[in-house]
Amino acid sequence: MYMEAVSLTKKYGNFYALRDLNVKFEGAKCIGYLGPNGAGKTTTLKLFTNLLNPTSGEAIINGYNVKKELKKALKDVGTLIETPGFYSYLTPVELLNMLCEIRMANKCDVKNALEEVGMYEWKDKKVGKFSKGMKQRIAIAAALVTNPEILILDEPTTGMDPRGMAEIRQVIKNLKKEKRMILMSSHLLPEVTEVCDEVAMINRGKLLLYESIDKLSEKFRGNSVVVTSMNEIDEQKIMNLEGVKSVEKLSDTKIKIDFEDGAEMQYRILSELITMGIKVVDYRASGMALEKAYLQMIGGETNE
Amino acid sequence: MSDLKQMWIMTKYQFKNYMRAKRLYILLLITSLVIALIVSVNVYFGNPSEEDIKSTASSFANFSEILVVLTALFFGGDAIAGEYQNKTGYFLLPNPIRRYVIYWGKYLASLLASLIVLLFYLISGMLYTFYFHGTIPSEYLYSMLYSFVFLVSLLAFTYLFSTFFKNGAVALTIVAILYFFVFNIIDGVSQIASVEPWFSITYASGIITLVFQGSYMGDYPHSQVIHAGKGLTITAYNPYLWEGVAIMLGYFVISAIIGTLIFQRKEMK
Repeated sequence: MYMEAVSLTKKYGNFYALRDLNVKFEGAKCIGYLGPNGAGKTTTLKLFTNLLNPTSGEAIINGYNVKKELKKALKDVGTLIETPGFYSYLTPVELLNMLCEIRMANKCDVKNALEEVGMYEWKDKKVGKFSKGMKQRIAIAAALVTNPEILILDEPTTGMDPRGMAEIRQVIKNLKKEKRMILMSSHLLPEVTEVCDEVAMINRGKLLLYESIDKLSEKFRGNSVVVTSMNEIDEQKIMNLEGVKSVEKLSDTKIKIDFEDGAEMQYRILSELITMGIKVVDYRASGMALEKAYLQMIGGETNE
Repeated sequence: MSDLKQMWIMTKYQFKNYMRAKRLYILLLITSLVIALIVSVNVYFGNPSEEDIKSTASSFANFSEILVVLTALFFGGDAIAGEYQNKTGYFLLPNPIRRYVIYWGKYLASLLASLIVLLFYLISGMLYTFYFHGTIPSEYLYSMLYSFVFLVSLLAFTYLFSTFFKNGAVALTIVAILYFFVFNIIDGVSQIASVEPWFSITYASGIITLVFQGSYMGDYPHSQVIHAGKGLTITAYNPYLWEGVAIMLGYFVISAIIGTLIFQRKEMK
């Protein structure tokens, strides 16, 4: 299974929403699609789901051009684009059945899809009365109901409370175990770090980076750690340790250490701290690799 | 084959939505009130059993033109625009289903709902005529047929406008203005300019009632010059029966082609 963009371009007047995108997502994995507002994330997903027409280039799914061979291309693809509206007079069961029928799906499990998103008890209520979060859950159930091998999810946890977000992340993690490809756009870097295997970054319609999270973590690993101890820490003693560049006291029991490059050095400092009798209860890199990569590649800019 | 099956599925769910939204019942209720009004007025102020049978039958046919417009607006006005306005397009469109299948599946549901209302009305008219005269004139059956052709074409025309806009209310209002004002103005100006308005659907739909005129079907003047004083003459045109049908079918074919092509390319931005 794969999705491929070949010189994919979308232009509105003189504005490029997406410019010459060339990328191939392949295999059972979760790919986080990141970028600021207006970067071209949703445009890409809409081009792959026949909601937009490309100005030039091709969106290809499993070898089929989405524009030319729509039925074959989207046959085994579940989608969630923005927060869709639903026919308000239908119930979740009717909506999902409608989708199964339209998709002419062999593998259709309405009950399981509704249970996965915690909406089974609402199965016979009319959707028109649902809150935004509930509609989002139904939208995710709609993406899952035919058990597709590829899932295209546009900010799937939008509009959900923290519990709902955690539940949906778990659903996505479970889907990964079932050997599916998930392309998921998100603003939430911790979410992508937690759920995805690879990350693609886009800004101003151009792809900036496509890398595995592991490689990215290696590349953008920080050279500072935050240490939390049960007892008071004497930062002067730590300053004298080999490889330590600076120490910042954050509180009596918490310090931030900047050190010379390398994972080996990070480990040696931890060993020394324990040898010095400091009761370390937390020792973690300051800031996420993904966040650093994001800020370095994109900065704090938005395109709105 | 699978396209036809998907079209039927679209029709089924769109029709279900009409039922649940009570649109169909509301229009049936309005139609019942109109029937009650026509019967009451005719019986109270006249004597249907003593009047000409064609006159009795045409009293029902007169309103069927308006009823067709109402049903087309009720069931077609927001059928496509609503997908964009209510964002249901995000649910429906990213699926392995061709756009034309969605378009025509919805159209068939609208046609079916409209037909139920129209047949309810026209069959009531048949029963009314039969009650007072013991028979139904063949002109009434032709008028029914022309009403059906008008419905098919006006609904396609309404769907065309529904693809132009992303707001159902706007689409609906534009079609209503077009039908009730713009086409009537065009018909009026054409009469003054002595140009036959062969391009107007309201002109064509006139055959629904014209069929009752004269001693046999089609027995009416195609044009009549009327002197309106001070050198002003206007020409009143009546479409031939075949001409009316041809114009309406023309509207259907052109609206169907353009509407389908637009929806095929329309983006969900």
